[in-house]
Amino acid sequence: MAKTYDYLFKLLLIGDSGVGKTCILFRFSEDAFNTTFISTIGIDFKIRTIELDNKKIKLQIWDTAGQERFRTITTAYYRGAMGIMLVYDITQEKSFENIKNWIRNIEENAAADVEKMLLGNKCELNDKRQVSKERGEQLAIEYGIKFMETSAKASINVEEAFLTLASDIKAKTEKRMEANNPPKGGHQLKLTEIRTKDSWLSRCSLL
Amino acid sequence: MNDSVRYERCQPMLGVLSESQEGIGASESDAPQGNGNELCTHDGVLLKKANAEHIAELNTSGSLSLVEYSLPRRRVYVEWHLNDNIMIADDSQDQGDWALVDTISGRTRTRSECSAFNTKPAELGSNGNVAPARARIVRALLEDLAAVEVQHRGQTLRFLRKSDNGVHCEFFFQHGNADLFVRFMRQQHFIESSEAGRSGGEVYAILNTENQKLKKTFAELDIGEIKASQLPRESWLPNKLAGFLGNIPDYVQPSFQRSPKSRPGSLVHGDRQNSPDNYQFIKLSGSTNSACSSNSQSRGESADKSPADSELENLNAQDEKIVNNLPARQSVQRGQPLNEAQWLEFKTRDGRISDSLRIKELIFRGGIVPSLRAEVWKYLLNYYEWSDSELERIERRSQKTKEYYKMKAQWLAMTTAQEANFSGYRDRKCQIEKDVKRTDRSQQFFAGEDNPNLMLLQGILMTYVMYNFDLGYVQGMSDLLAPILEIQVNEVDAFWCFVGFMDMVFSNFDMDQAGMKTQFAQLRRLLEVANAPLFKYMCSHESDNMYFCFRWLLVWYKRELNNDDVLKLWECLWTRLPCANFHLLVSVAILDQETNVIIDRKYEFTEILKHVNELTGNIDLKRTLETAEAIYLQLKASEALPNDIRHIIGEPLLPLAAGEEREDEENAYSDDGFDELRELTPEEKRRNQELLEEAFERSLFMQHI
Repeated sequence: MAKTYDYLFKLLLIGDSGVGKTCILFRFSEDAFNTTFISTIGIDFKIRTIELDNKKIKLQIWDTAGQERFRTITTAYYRGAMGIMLVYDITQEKSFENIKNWIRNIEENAAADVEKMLLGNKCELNDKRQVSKERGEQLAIEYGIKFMETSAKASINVEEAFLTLASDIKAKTEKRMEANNPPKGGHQLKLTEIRTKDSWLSRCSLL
Repeated sequence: MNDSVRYERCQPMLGVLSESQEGIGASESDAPQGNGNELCTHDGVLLKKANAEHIAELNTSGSLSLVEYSLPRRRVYVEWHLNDNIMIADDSQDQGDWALVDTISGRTRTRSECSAFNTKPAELGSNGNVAPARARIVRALLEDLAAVEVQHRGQTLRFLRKSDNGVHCEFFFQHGNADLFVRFMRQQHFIESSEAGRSGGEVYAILNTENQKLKKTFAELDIGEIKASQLPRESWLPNKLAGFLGNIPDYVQPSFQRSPKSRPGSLVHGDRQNSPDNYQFIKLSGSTNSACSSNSQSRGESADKSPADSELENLNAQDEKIVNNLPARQSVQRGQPLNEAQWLEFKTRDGRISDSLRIKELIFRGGIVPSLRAEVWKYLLNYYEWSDSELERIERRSQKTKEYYKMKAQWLAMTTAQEANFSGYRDRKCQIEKDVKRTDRSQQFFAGEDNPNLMLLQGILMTYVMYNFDLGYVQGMSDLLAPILEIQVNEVDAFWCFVGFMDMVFSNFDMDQAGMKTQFAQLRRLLEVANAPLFKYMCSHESDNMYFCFRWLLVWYKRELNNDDVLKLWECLWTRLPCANFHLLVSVAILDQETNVIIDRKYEFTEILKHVNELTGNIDLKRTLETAEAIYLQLKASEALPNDIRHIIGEPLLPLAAGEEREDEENAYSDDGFDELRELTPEEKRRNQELLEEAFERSLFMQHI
């Protein structure tokens, strides 16, 4: 059967309960926002296929329950993840402080080379902001990962965030493939890098 | 059915109510939510007698109201509020705002405790301040009162307790308008005049739920003339004096449980239901007819011994034999819900429930009519004891009410500084706040901004944290509480019912998720025996870890079914019939119905997970319960059923054959099917754990490219 995609990337959304993981996913997969919130129990995933550099990439994005109690179940899913979105809520200091715990969790349970990205969600709620954008950036730098402020509700940066993460994974994957198989042609990866830089750290600063 | 009729008839009654109420206090209602609805309110009412707690309020002026809290179960309370300064803003327990009669602006009323005779302090400030004056509201559930007496030419109104016929509280109507209050109650059939009037006053019997039921029963039995006034005598109505005046107001009543047709005077015409239908009961075991609807291959091969030893089940010869001996699946039929007439039959004169097993059988078979849920759930959830007499129940409730508020006061009293220094508490509180906002908001009971029922939900969960701090609050618990609260409405009752439910499922919320893992292992075993083809398919497709059933098991299918079905399923499962761990057989039954889809479409782990998650809203509960029971009967009838399966479903174990292994493990099991969820031997746990982890790893590998 012909594959309808070139790559399948498994991504994971993690972060404290209530930071908006499910909403981010819903925005990305359905381009919609639902105001009837419901907490996530267990695990679920959504699929969206994107195209980067003429490659079809199927993203399988896993959404997990945020409460610590469920980590013994959810961490089992970390192992297969190639990219992880760490999400906090800019209106909740605590969710930001907990990012370091989530990072530790990843280190313990996920593959060492998993791509990570930090998202400060709910950036449309600027008047309730408790975590400045600078602090988010600072933390991201500390961990050597990318950062964006997003709003699932206002549809800000969600698409960009996933594309960024996907392209980084793609770059890494292709590099590894090249290492394994002698390069046959030129690199196609640079384009994505450039695109990425364009989009990250962008829009929310206007709010 | 009856219930809907009843419900419809209630609405007009309310309408009448509001029209008839006099002047005072409007009966405002946030009707859509069905929150506290002041049916009528009278000002200028002095509190003359009440429980000692209210000593400070004696002889002070306030307003007396009848407040109805609607929702699943309607109940009416008599409430007296002090008219003073009060500034009770926004109480966390508020169930319905009250628009007070008095003109003091900004006053809202808190309601909360509605225990029997309670007198609970009303005002617990929402921010954790406990208002110093606790006893500003005198409140009584109509249902708990026996009668109301009017004395002193209509100026004094006295409520009598059902429990001992003593005075619960007494009021003096300064404006002499007690008659209006009484008239209103009569019009609404909350009370009826007792036959004999003597002793200088007029007495009205408060129509209790039970009265209503009794009346209804009589009507159903076609017994002709039964006077409404006799009913009270038969139950607890103590002294009925007589007559009435129009002066005294008040009554309270559980009105809506009563059948609309049971209005006094119209009893005789009560609807006759077809009793035979209502009594129909199909025996739990041994059903007759045709083959069960399930599409699955029920008697495949499978079976066996321990999941532990052989990971990838090799069926040995003995196993094959067991499987082949699994009897054919029979069809099972569901029955009618337990109705009020039936329920009454089980009540002895002093209020005990005579044959709880049979009641549970009826409930297992067909659920409970909505109007009875609030009451019967209290038994199913071990809040009430079946053997309690009415008096004992009242006592229990009153005790439990005190206990509840004691615990509630603990967190309400927490200061900011304490909280800041108490991360365990803070985390729990924070998680509760997050989840309350997103629990069942599409249900009318919790819908809308600032819905006071959300505060109730939060209050109960917070109090549960104080009750069981170690478990605290875990996501999913708000899902378990919401339907209970919706049915009970009363905060205290909902809390204790919730405690009963949590006692059954707390291992779902273990810190290490051991309870969930155990259930996955058990479910896996059950599937192996009950649906071998699917089991084999799952093993060969790295999906036998059963993780995709996580949500099902964690909150007992709450997210998979519509609200009405959730109530039906839960009450059925709460009976713990027909066997231990029947909730796992429900999973087997659902999977059973999906067997063909999963196998034909060659689903792998992720697709199965997706498919299972998407079953939400598409599960046929009736069929699922029938299938689950049919599977149970099939297992039970299998003579060679291995002991570990017997243990899971609570069947007597077979004597061990000489040389049989695993003896120790089997003996280690407790007999209570539920207990074993958390009482595995360490070795068992370890094995289960290993098994699952391996299965899980396998499934993850598969999805990787």
